[in-house]
Amino acid sequence: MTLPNKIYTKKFTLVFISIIILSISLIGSMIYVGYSSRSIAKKQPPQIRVIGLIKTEIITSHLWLEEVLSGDRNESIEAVNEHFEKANTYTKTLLYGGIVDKAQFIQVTNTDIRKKIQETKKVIDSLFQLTEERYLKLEHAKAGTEIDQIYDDVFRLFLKKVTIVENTLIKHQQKNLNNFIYTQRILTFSAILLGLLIIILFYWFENYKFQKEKKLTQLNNIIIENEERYRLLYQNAPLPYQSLNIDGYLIDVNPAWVNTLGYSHKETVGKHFTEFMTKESAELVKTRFPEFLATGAIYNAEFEMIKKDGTNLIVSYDGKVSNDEKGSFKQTHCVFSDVTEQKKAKEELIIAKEFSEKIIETSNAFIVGLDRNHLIQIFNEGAETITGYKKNEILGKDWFEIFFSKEIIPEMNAVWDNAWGKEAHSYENYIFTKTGEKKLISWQTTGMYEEIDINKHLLISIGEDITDRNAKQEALNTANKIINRSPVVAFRWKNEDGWPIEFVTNNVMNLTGINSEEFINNAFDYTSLIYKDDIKRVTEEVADASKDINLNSFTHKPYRIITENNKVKWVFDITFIIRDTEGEITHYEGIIYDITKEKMASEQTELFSRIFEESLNEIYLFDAETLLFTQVNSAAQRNLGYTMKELKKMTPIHLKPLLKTESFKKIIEPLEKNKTNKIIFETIHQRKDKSTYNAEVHLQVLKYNEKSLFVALISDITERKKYENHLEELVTDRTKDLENSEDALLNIVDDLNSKTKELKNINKKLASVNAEMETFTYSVSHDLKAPLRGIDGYSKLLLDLYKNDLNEEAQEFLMNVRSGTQQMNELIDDLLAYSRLERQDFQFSKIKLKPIIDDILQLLSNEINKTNLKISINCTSDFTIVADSKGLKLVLRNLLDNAIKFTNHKDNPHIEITSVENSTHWLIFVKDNGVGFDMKYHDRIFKIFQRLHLPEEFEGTGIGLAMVEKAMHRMNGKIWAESKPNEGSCFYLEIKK
Amino acid sequence: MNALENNPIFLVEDNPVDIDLTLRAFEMSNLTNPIKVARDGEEALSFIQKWDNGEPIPVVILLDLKMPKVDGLEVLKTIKSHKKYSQIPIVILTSSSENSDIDKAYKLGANSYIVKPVNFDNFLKVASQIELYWAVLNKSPN
Repeated sequence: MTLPNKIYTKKFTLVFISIIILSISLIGSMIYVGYSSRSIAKKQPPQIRVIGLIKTEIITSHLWLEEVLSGDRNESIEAVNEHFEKANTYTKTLLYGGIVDKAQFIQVTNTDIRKKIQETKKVIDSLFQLTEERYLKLEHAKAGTEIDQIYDDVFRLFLKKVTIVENTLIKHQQKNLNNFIYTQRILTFSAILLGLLIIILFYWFENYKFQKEKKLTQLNNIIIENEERYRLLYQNAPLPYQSLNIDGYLIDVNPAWVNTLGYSHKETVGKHFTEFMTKESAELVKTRFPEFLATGAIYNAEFEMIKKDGTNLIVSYDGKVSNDEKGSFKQTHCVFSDVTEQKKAKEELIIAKEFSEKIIETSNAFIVGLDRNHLIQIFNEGAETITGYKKNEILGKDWFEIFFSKEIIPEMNAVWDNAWGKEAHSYENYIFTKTGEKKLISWQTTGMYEEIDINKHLLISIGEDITDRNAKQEALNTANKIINRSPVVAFRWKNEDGWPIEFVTNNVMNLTGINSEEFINNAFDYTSLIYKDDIKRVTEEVADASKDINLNSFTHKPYRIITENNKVKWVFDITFIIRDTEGEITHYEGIIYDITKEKMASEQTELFSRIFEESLNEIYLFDAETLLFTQVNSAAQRNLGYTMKELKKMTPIHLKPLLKTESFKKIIEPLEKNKTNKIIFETIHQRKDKSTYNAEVHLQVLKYNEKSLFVALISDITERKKYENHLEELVTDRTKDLENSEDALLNIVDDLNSKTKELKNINKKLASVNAEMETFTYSVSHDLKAPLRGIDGYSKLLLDLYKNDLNEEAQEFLMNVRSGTQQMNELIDDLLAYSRLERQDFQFSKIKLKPIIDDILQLLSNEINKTNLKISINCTSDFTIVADSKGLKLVLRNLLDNAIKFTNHKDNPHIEITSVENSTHWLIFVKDNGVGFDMKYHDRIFKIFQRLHLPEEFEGTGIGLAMVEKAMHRMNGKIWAESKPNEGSCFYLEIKK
Repeated sequence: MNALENNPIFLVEDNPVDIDLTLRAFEMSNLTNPIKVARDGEEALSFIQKWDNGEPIPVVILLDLKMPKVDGLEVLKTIKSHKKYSQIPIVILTSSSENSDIDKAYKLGANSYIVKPVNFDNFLKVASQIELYWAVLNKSPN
């Protein structure tokens, strides 16, 4: 609180002082201003007035002089001189100050003005002299005389000087006044500012004070709050608190203390602290209290207190000594907490610890405890037994060094640190006993971390000697592996309905497609695996076998099972019966393996033998050397009437009455010698009853087990033979008929030949005619064109080279010549084209119409774009016609050319092309909205060189439509048109299918 | 290449009007090459001898088809099968636009086939194009 105050007063003092200074200076200036104004007011206006007076006096003197001199004034010169005197007095006043006419005048101080005044005075003096002179020399002082002139000059000079003085004084006064005004203004302004400043400072000061007060009250409030809080803390603290004086008497206790011990506040304060303790604790206090006072603090001091109700409470005290400002003892502050329970717990813990240690020690189990450095801290009797070491020779030694082989120590070191801090875990390793025996131990390890001291932490491990177990396990695993690799699946079924599967080897997966786990976990019924048709049989077999009490095992007949993906497999099953002590069957155990392949094979064999037996063909097998029958099928036996027994003694020769042994041997020789692998021949067989039948024999050799067999397939061809004979007859008849028709045909052919010859001749003639035509047209074009070129060329040269020599008419003539040439050229070209049409051969092919139309329009695009011609094409892109490609193109080109030509004068020229197909024809319409024509000329327009318009109206040679008609005829088509004058035309093309 | 400007254009044409007009046409299109003319097929073939004797070989031969004595196609065949002169470009310049003629000409090895227009303005254009193409633009064989 003191520091802010100082600043506060310092600041204020500075400000206060500066305000005072300002005020003083302001007042001072005001006084000065007031003073100077007085002087100004006093001084200057009178001075100006005086000058005025001087001026007036002199002017008056001048006037009077003149009047006196001229006689106008009846005064003496003294009157004039009076004025001069007055002027002089006034001048003196100006220069030296004084009283004139009872008025106080102050002298002019300004040196410059004084000078001017003195100059003026001099002039006045000279003027006075002159006045006297003029008066004295009256006659000579008349107007116009020299002295009068001089007098005027001097008077003028006087006026000038006096005016100067006057003006200067006025100016001066003005200046002073202005200065005064300025100063006045400045001062006023400053005064106002100062006033404002004071007001502002005043407000600021008040505000500052107010803030300070506010802060003060705030702080006060905080202090009050804190006090309140502390008081509450004190009151509500859960820990009992006491304060003692230097002699150990209680100064104060808090409510918690009172509540814990049961006394009231009154009963405790002022009493000695040891009154609330047991005798022993009181004694203890006597020694420990001085210590406490000396050190100033005490921690964990355990005392036994007596509660009000007589029970004891073991408490632990923490306390501090507090000193006053001088540093001497003021009071103690102590808190205690109830440690009764704690103590009990500790004691129980100790007992438990001792108990567990005993257990460990005496247990038969292999128990060791290792510290952080794997030194042995615990080593029980069980450990002694298994390892052969005694406790006292091993405690404190390094476990790793004693029990582990050198190779695994690095590995063990690596996992050692990880073992700490883990929850109980297990692992296995090998250790060496005192006698060097290697044992496999399975450890269960936990850590003991209760001690604060890290070095006292232990890992306790309980070990089990599994050396033997391991070996047994290994053997078991090996057996398991062998079984699982084999196709044999081992089952163990419970003797319940359906035979739920209790165990099955893993290779059941290969057999059934189902995992062994699924079988065991879901208590699969074995019957669900068995093929439905076999379930009954299998169940009966089990039931039968189980009846016999002496039977230990039985074999099933092969039955089927169904796999996961519905495959059927045949299995072979040997089952063992497991009985309990009472002879009741509890389980069945068995092995099963897949015999599907074998079954298939046997089935196939069966099938083949059936085929052999039941074939409707006769099949014989006989030995290659002895020729005796070894096997004959039923069909053969039936047909022949012999039994197998009888046939075994026979050979094929016995069946063939007409065949001798040598001949037969000859037949089969190629087979024997491997020249061929099959012989087919026809023969006659005799039955037992001596009847015969035609037989076709297919004979093959079969090598079998190093023996050679003949296989004969024999078909009874009696019927066939009959049929063949019948056919032969038919053939002979038919051949006869054919021969007759042949003759007839030959005649026709002769006719044809002669006709062809004729045709050939005609063609030849045609060809020669065509050739003639060709040369004709060729010559025409070539020979006619050459002179045309000449005419056109020279007429053009004439026009160009001799332009100057030709008048307009001549030029016109020449141009006519040229246009005539052009026309003739066109006619020749058209004629050529027309004749070509006639000579060309037309080939029919499938043509797509749309592309042709598009091409032609592309060709004519220039013409089309000249007008805004609209063209609609109603033709699908795959519309096909069978026609001559060139001819069709020519036709369409001409029609479109015409359509464009005859519509180009219209505003909205429009052409429509449509294609239609019906069962007999293809139709194409080309419609325009052009000039049209009168239908009475319909036939004429298709004639060569026929036109309906003048060359000026529409150009053209008149050959277009003629060519179109010719082309259509040559394609077996038709063309006709419909039109109305000025309403356009529609041309129809029709081609027969 | 510079020598080409002096190599002649060889015109084989029987019609005097055509010859005159063609010469004028070339003249009007500012042709710099000299022009040699043969009046018929026989005369045309006699030029072969002249070339053998050292006369400059034409940069192009303009050949008409229908001519007396030896036909245009004959000349074409002969030159195109000649050891030395088969490579000279031959342009058929004729009034016939018959496909058969065109076929025959190309089969015999004609390099180009142009139909003589009747209209003289067009003919002028054709002439200048022939000249521009064959004597200036085209690179003749050595």
